[in-house]
Amino acid sequence: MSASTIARDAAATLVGTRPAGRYRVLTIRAPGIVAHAQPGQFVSVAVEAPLTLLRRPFAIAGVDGQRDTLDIVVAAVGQGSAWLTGRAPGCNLDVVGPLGHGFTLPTAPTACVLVGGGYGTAALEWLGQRLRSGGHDVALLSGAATAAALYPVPRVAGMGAVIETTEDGSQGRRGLVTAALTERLRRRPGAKVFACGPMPMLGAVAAIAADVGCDCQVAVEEHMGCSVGVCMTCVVPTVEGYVRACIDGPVLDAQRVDWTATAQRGADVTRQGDEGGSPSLRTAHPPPLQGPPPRRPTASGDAAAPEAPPLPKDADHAVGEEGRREHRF
Amino acid sequence: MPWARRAVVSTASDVDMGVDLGGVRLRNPIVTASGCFASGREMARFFDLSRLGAVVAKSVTLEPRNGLPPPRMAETAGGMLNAIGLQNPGVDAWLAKDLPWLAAQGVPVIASIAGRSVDEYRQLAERVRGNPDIAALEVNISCPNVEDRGIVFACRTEPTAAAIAAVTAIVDVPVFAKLTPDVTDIAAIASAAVDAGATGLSLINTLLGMAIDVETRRPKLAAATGGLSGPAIKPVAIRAVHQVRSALGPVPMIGIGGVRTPEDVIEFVLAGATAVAVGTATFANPLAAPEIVDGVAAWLHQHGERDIGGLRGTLVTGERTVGR
Repeated sequence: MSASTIARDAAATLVGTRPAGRYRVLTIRAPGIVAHAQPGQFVSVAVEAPLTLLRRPFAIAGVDGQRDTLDIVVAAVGQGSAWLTGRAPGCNLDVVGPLGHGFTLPTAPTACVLVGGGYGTAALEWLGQRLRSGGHDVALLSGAATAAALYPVPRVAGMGAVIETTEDGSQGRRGLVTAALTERLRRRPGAKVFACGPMPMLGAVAAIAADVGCDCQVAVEEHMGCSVGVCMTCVVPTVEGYVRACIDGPVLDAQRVDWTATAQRGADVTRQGDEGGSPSLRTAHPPPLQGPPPRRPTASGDAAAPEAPPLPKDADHAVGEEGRREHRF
Repeated sequence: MPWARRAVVSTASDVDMGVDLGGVRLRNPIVTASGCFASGREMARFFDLSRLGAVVAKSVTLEPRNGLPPPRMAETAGGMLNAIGLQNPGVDAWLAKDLPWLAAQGVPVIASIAGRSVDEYRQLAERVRGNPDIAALEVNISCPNVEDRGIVFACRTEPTAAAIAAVTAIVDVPVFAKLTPDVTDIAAIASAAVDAGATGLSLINTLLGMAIDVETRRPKLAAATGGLSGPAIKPVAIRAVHQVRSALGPVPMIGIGGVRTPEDVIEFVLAGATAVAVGTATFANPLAAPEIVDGVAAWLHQHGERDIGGLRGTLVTGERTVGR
């Protein structure tokens, strides 16, 4: 039995909740988990919504070592997350964590650019605090389709530069967060990039960073089953083949990820590989909705990115969207 | 759905949890379901694997396989669909890297092999033959996530017999044939496997299923179809074990399908299973399997049973007395 810092705390306590834009921040007391957590890691939380059975994964949005609490940010998009956001403070939660590999922090003072899409920004806020306390120059770029979808970044002392973008211009700069990234990297050549958000946005961020030779770490998203490395659900295509987001990631070096393959996601049903579902079902299925992905996919930082089918903006969307690390969008 | 969150009652030390699974001595009847536990390394972060009766490892194939594209999983009511496509490092890498580590944990290892032809099963059997770290072999002839349903061996008696005979002719450890419930007469398939030399049966693999996202009108899985597991399939598994027991008598069986509570284990044993696998429940609770071990011991103690083996196949089928 290998030594481990991972714990299952079946008696974690929800100590508080607060709204953050259209999301909800849950503060959970879980001493054995908080002690070892790093930015970029996540926890999985058992939910008891009717007929659900899988845990829901959430990025750790911050920790308070004094109070032994951690924060997760939940968007009530399905049964499980709705159950969670409906819990009252004081209730018991079953939490496993900290899970996965977090961000690798630079050692020497470095310019750092953090890029968040939707509530992916939540995980970066904590990373930003860590980096600033380590003496690094930090800018946080936070983008979404609309003001409502932005994760509100608290304005606290020493936060450094915070730039918000919305596609519709309803808050911050109008446009994509990737445009703000290009501009920032022009002014901070050699900066290290840390990104968290929907996969199409991460692909665009990775391409921009690669173009100018900047290191880039991304916290990837994929549907998860077990969250602990055994079910092989949450695989991400890389240059070495599929790796598991839950245990090999969620933070990966952007250069490892096969972004062309991730952009194909959704078109996979019609792909004729050496493995697949029933051939008759496959051929009967309509062709993919979109053509081949552009080399540098545009990204919005929210669910309405071109690669993803449009999602109802505030609807209680399909359960299928759960199981993704839910801070994403 | 509340998942086995009961407090564990003190384990009764006077209860005999040991079972003989076709010649393999297990300290308790709880094993892992293939594909739900990888090869144990990840789960050893949570508990000592020697608390289990055995680990049934994820199926390996002759060559490494990258598996199917994502999305590979969709949660459904009381269950989940998966279409992983047998992602694995290949039998040689598994034998070299994963098996020695797992065997060193002090838990019997049941290897699982999956082939696409009788010849592949023969070659896989050659690779594992004589390996002292392998206590028994599960022959996966029923993975639903293959390119051609025509090669799901366990859908017909002749291919079942051919694959099992190819393996049993080579290996000298107990062989368990893992069958699919997606057939008209599972007892006939089981009989063909036993006649071909199988020591016993693993019942059941996942059921082929499908779910559709009504917003996008796409299948929720990239592969369109996948294997259904979880509590939703437990009655199907109990039925399969019961039918095979009724037809073949006390053949060694590993009962698999939707187990999440100690009572689920007892149910499988009453139907005739010797060992019972925990699969999808591990996804919901990484400690599910050892908690179920403790729970079964407590259940036996509370019910005045001294031996799990004494319950096997003791299903009551006579006329019901009025009032019961």
